[in-house]
Amino acid sequence: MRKTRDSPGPGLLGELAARAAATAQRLQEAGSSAAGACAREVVWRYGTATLYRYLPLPGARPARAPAVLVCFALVNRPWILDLRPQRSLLRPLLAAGHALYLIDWGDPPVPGRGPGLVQYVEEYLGGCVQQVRRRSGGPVTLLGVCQGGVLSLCYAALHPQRVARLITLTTPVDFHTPDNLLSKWVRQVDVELLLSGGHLPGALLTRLFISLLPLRLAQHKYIRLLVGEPDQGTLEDFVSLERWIFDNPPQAARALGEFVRWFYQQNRLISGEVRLGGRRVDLRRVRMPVLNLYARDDHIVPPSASRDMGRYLGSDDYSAAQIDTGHIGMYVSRHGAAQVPARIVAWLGERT
Amino acid sequence: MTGAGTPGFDPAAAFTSAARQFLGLLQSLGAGRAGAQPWNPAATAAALAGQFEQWLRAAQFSGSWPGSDATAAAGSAEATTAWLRGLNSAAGAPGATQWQQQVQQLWELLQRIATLQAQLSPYWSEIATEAGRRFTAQPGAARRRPPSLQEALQIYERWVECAEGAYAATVHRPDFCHLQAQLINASAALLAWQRSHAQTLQQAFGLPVTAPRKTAKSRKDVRAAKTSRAGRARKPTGTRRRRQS
Repeated sequence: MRKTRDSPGPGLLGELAARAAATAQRLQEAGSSAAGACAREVVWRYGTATLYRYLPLPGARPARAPAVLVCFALVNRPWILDLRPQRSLLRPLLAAGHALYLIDWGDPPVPGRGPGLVQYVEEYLGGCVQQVRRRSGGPVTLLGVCQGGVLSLCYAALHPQRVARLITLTTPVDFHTPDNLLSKWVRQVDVELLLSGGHLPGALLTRLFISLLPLRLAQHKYIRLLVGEPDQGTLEDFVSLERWIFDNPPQAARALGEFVRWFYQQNRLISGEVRLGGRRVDLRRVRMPVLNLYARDDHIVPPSASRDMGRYLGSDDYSAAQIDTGHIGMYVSRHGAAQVPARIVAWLGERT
Repeated sequence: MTGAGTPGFDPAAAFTSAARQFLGLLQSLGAGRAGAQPWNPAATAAALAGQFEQWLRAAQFSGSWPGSDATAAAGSAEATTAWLRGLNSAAGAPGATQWQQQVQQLWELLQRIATLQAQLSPYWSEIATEAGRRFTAQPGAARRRPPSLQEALQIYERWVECAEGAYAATVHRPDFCHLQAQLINASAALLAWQRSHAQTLQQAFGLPVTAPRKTAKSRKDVRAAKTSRAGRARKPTGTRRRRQS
């Protein structure tokens, strides 16, 4: 720690200004990863989606557990889960010997309104489940993240026999809890109008998410970086995370409209009124073991939106835990990295 | 994977802007000044609140807020009017009436967004004032000597806490939520206009346009290709292509 840290004096401002300039320069030069850290291969493509299989880590003993299929949100890119070697939620699962697959939804096709939720759940996700089942010879463990957790819940309710276990991270079920700011803001949005322009640019979503917590997300984190005197690795982590934050994909108009209307505006998931392909999504049909992890300081999916999930499911084996971090911290913070994969691995281990 | 050229992705610029604000705070606290006077929490709170209000307003117009694109694109009212007049006079070709209607629609949309942003303006003042009040009311706010860096960071953290608290107290209210939703709606309408506008311009200037029938055919081709790919990749059992009810 430098002397100036605790000693006010004429040199403090000058030194900080110099440090700020140097850090800005280093930020410009810092590399960032957008491709993930763990080796993987494409095993299936459908529409715009790609199913990846992660290659086993050398020396990892194969786990005796169903293969894990990660279903990420449509509104973000999934590479946050495997940002860099030291910031990867997936690597510990591979190290524990789990067969691991991940869906990358890709960008919606142009022109048109793109797939609806029924296509995403039944064809895209369902197709991936079938691929993984075929390869692994049995039912899968679905790991749904955020909005991907909602899609996973829908799939598990429609096809419970194909899902051995369900893990949900930062997944909302009740969209109308009093502290859900995003829900309050979009409840009066005119969905037809929103869709009339076609796919929604990802940049608009980025702005919406930042404006939920503007000072922290647009200023505070940079000050912490300045005062923290980051090493090169920390800077590269930071830049990679920044790149991810600003890399929201465009949203298929049809699916986005359905998601906003059915879930955010009408809160249909917990009332059992979501219908996909003519079939009702009844959460009581989710009877497989479920692990639900949510974040204490989540500004997008507040704990209240997720913590009562067990009330709505038919599962007798439901576990939930609150992690002391924020929404993105679940995937990349030191605390999240220490807690989330370890809990998943332990929970899966107890059920093999 | 993408990321390069991502709109809004400029960590160095964002960092520099935030660092400048922080250095300004340190200055106002007297850090680094030899023989500095004890700092006055009320004055600091007022300065921070003023900065915060400006920042909220600027964010609304500069890209970190729904609807900001519209005003950024439009610039001042005079410039926008001149721009729209230019568009109108340029469209003397066939389809000019339709074009003028569209320009009128654009004008109304921009006005709508400007009105909504003006209606949001008092909320930024309210949030900033409340943030300053919370900051001043914090126990231990007064200090007898200029702070060290760590102490200044603690003061800044406290400020962020107060500011976010004040922000949350306002933006959860139904009246704010209503305005915010209206702004999103107006922005969505503008986005739709921008996309349809491209086609109208092409028509007005006699440029080749993708015919609707061709577009429909393209969609059909895409669907056919998808189906074919899916079939090759062994279509999952139980998959249905029915529309949801």
